[in-house]
Amino acid sequence: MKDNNVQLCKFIVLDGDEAEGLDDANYIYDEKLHGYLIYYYYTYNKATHKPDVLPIAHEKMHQNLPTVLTENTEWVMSGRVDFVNGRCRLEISEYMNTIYNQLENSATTEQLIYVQEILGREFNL
Amino acid sequence: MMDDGTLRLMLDFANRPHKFFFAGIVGLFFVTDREVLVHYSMIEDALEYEHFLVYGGGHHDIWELEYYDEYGVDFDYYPRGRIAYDKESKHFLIFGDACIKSVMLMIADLIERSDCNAMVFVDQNYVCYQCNSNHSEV
Repeated sequence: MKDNNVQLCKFIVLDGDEAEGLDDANYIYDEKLHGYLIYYYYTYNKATHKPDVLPIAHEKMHQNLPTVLTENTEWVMSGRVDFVNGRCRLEISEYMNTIYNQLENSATTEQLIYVQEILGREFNL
Repeated sequence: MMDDGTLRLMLDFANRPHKFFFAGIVGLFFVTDREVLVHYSMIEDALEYEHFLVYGGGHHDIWELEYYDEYGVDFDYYPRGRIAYDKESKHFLIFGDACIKSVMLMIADLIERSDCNAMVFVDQNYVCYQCNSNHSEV
């Protein structure tokens, strides 16, 4: 039933300059974010309470990226858009929030809010 | 030089007489269906990020090296988490999968029995196979 489907994602944010020669819709470079926002999409069925495919771990998402991208960036944020209590909800890694947000050249509050804006538009949060 | 240690604890480790006290370490852990696997370093050997002390190892690499052959599943099959230390607030911070909150609370309890402070965070970065398969019911 199409009406029962909602699109969700897991995502990571890599801070750093744009890598040359990368042309893939899965790697979205954003100037304002100063980094890459990488999504892993999947469909969640509200009737069966199941995702259509098993969402992969954030670590695997990172490992599957081209080396040129991961070597020149710093992983600063990870999270997911989940479906909880009847609506989409953005959840960001507490570990990343707590520890890496303190680092120079890592995710800032502004970046975090911007990611929320992007994901809010994409996923009707 | 990071001085790593490893431990295999029974799932009811908190009730064992010769229990391992988690105060004084940072590390990562997996909770399988039969044991808790801990990799750690003492906080004096931990990596420093601003006012945090963290363990340098990663779940994927450690699982592949130490446990993949034994368990025959990927590193994200079982729930997992981390222990870090905040020098500013003087709290141990325990992050992990929602389905192992009870284990994280046991770790926090052991830390607090050593007159240290601990806080537990359910973390979206850690979601095991079971939770991924049916995460809305977690």
